[in-house]
Amino acid sequence: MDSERLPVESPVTRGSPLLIWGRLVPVFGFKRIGSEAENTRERKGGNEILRPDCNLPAGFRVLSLGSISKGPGQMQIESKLFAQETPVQFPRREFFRQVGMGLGVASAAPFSGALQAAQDSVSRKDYRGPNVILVRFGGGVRRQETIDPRNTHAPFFLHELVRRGTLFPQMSIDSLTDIETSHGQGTLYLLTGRYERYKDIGGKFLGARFEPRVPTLFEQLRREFNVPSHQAVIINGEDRKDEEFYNFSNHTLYGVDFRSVTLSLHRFKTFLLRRQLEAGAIPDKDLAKSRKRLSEMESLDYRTHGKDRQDPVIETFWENWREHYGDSGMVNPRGDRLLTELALRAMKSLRPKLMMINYNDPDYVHWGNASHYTRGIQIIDEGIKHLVTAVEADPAYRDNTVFAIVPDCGRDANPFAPVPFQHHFNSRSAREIFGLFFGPGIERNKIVDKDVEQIAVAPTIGTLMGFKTPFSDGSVLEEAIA
Amino acid sequence: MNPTDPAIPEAIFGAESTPPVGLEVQTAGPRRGFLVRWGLRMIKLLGAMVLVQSVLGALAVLGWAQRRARTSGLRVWEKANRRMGRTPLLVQASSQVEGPGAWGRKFRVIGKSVVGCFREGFQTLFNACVLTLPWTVLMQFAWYDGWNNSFNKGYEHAAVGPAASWIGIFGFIAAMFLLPMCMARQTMSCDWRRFYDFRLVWKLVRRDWLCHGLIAASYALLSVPLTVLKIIPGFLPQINRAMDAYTPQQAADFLGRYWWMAGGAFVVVFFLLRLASAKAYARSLLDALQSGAIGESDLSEAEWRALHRLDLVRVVPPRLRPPWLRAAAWAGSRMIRLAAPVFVFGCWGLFVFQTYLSEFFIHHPWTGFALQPLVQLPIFSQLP
Repeated sequence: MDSERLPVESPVTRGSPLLIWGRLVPVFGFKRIGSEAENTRERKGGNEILRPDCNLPAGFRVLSLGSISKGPGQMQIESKLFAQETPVQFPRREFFRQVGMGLGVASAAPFSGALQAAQDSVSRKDYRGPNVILVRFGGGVRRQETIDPRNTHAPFFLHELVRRGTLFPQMSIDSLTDIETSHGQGTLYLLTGRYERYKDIGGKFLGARFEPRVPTLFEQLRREFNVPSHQAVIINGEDRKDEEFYNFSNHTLYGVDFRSVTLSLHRFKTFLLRRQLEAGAIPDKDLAKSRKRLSEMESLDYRTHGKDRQDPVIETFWENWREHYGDSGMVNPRGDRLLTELALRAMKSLRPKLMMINYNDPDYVHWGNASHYTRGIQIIDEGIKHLVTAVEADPAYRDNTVFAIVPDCGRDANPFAPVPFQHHFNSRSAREIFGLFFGPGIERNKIVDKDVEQIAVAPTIGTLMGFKTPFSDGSVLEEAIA
Repeated sequence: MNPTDPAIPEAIFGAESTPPVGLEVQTAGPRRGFLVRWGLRMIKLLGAMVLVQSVLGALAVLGWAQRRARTSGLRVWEKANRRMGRTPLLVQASSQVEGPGAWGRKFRVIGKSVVGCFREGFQTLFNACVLTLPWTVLMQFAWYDGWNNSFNKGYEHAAVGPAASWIGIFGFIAAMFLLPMCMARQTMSCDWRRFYDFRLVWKLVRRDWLCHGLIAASYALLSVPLTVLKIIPGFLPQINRAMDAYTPQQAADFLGRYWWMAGGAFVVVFFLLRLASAKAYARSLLDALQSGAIGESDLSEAEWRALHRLDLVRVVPPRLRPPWLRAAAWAGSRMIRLAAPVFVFGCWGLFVFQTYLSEFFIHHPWTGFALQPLVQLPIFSQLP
């Protein structure tokens, strides 16, 4: 076990309506959703850490993760996970919160995420480390079409970038049977540095929704440093609404207040519809339908309570996007080229310190045409080229930006199938990926031919950016750091 | 009618008819013993399992199945003849041919039979493709276009793939309402052009929804194990982890054995369905003929000969039944006429669904949708 890990799940007094998260919450709304048997106990240096092994059902949030007490001669563990159904938003709640803050409830609530964020923002130091661009070479790609010189479809990546940095050609995803090799899971392994058995909490066909239980890189960065949300950016695929939930975890000490901003076509459509409704541009006959649709779009993530749509910087970003590409959505680039365009614009206007780009085009091969897969790889390669060129052309990013390029998962190499491009079945090829780091502070022209894990990416990025990643199970890729 | 017409098979000539030149009518020989019969069946099955692995072999199996289906249909009429208390007049005729010596004759018989299988196989394939290939190709195109459109994010043309797919599915289902009976019509008529007597076939289908519902249900249910067999190769590395590391040659060797063995199940299902369809057709045709719903002119030459020989070409007056029974029968038949088309549609829908399901798990470019082994060419081998 990582000796750096901290016992973050602290004993929380439960039952009191005033002392939980510093908010006035009704005690009768509690629901016990875990038991000792379902949770994980980890011992480290005399501390016991309890981790809930169950995902929260939709509409619930964590209030208490557990309590530990030491009895005479033995460790007595009371492991319970309580959650409260997310209340419907109404002004009273905000009113109570304001009143509570005014009355000094905050002093009795040291673990309040929201309040702590507010308090910490004063004390947190400014970030002065390198910018990091984490490229998910996504949609699942195999080594043979990417880093194999005989068969590569990513020439810029292989022939140009590998010389500039450190390549880990033997990176893989853990072969544990319950560790899935797919996009959502892979993205969260990259962001949290931890393998988990994620369960779909949405139940939507082909739209599995996962919510991390431990903080993402974005949350840890923003908790450590004074980085505004719009400088921690995730750029997502246009038709993958299930990927809209990676920008913060359900962890009590992190969560929505340390979230990253998500840029995607879904977010733009939400912004656009909101603006059109405000401007009265929707015909009367469509008004009710449009309002309902906007409500659905805005409540896609029930956990945010609207916090993710108030950032004026992001509003301006979308305003500029709209001005450039119009309202139709048919003018802007599509597929992974859209992601590249969003990333380039984000670099210009948002100046992100940490940005993750979730490419995905190679995934359009599952049961289709093999050429889509290789073409998808080429598109990502071109996108990376544009990003690298943009970084080199921008004084704020030049010599101050580290790229980490890692696939979310591999793909099958099933010799029995005519189109052998699945990735859901934990096959050897679906676990075999690679990782490339390059930029300042990274060893140049180095190939580390040893087995490393995908979850090592998060602690490595944390080390490069100067914050600890105590929730990660991976080890820092020391070989990459100069 | 010309009894020397080569299109008319030997089997339908009764003992009293004038046999074509070169054919000698004989009564059926003594029934073989149980073990011999099953031994011969197993040999035939093994042979068919080999044949369905290649295009040419599949063509021969298709013709073989058609000829075997003809015998099945004739037996239905034969049984009807027996039920009427008559001596069966329809007997198997030998296919003796003149030639020097016993072996020479045997080879000629076999050669003639093989050529006949190929000829009938090709005719049946052609007809089946005329009726179904446009729809299955449309489904294949829709799948291709759907993925193409998804990859290129062609939102403007997002409807093309699904629309083409639905058109293909509905067209295929509509074709399958007729196809099994059309193929039976072709084989019982010994004339490939009779396949296109859609009006007569549709009349037969509508007269006997129950029977044709069972045929459709048989197709839908018996294709389930075949769908499973098609899907399994996609999961072989998960079933046996060691297979994950197979070389392409090892995989090809394994798949060769796999498809040969899977061919056994396929051949059984394929023959069962063809034979059942022929029986259903023979039954429906006889029923329609004897009830006066169709006339003698609707029969093909070969059918007329066989039925005439068996003295079945006549209208049988309906049995007198009590009024309440007639009312119940009338109401029941109306209900069946209303519900059965929906049921048959559902059965063929399930059949198509299995195609989509198997292609979802393991896609076969070019042939996955376009070529339906149970419907068109009975080739059951999916080597990557």
